[in-house]
Amino acid sequence: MSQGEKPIPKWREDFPTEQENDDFITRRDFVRFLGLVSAGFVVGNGTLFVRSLWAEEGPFPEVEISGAMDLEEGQWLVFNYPDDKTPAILIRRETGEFISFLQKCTHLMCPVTYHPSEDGHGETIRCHCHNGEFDINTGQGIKGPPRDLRPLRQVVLRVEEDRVLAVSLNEIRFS
Amino acid sequence: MPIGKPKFDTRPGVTAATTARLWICASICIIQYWLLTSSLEAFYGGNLRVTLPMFLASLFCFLMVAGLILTGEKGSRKLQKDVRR
Repeated sequence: MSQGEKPIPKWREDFPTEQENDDFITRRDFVRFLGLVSAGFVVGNGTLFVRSLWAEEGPFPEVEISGAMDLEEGQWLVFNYPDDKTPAILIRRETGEFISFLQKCTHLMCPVTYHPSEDGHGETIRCHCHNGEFDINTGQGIKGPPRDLRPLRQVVLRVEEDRVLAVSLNEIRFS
Repeated sequence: MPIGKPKFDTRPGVTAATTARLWICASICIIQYWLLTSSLEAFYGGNLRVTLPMFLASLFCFLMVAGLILTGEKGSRKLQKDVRR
């Protein structure tokens, strides 16, 4: 304690709160506030339920993916599907087959990218925001935060002689 | 100078009961938070079947919290009535 400072009396240690401040919040008030928070959560869940009653998908448009036929094995491109604002990736796998997923990571919507096999590591889809990794066959998260979340949504393709069409989105599978 | 009436419920055990209520309500709110985030995740993933059970579970949790709050309020009001008499 520096010189000139008054010592704190014992009663002040035992009763550190002034009487007027004593009314600010009590346990009982805080429990009431928690009641309000709880009601807010119910409203949130209720809103989701109501919105789920009207949530319908489709019908999906058929969109030709430009540049798809120029892709070589191990290359990929970005296109928009099913609307102009939703990015998706088209991958030409090392086996030559086409596969496509929506590009938004199921964790925090960062864009995912395709990586061909390297150093004994097979082809993968990765999210660089949090080092997430997805199985290229199923879109299921296999590493990082997406491992515990829903898989990447797959775009159903129709490959014709000289073009690749995106025709719909597949049903969501839950692990 | 007359001594004023107590501002709060001063019966023995009331502090412990209120603290217990507080912790139970806080725990229920954490469960509700989990319900809401899981429900949101499922909703955006297209799994719409879970939204109704999640809503009902959350509603049940709210009723428990409301019951606990009302129990506390009831006790407090009863005490105030007794003091007035």
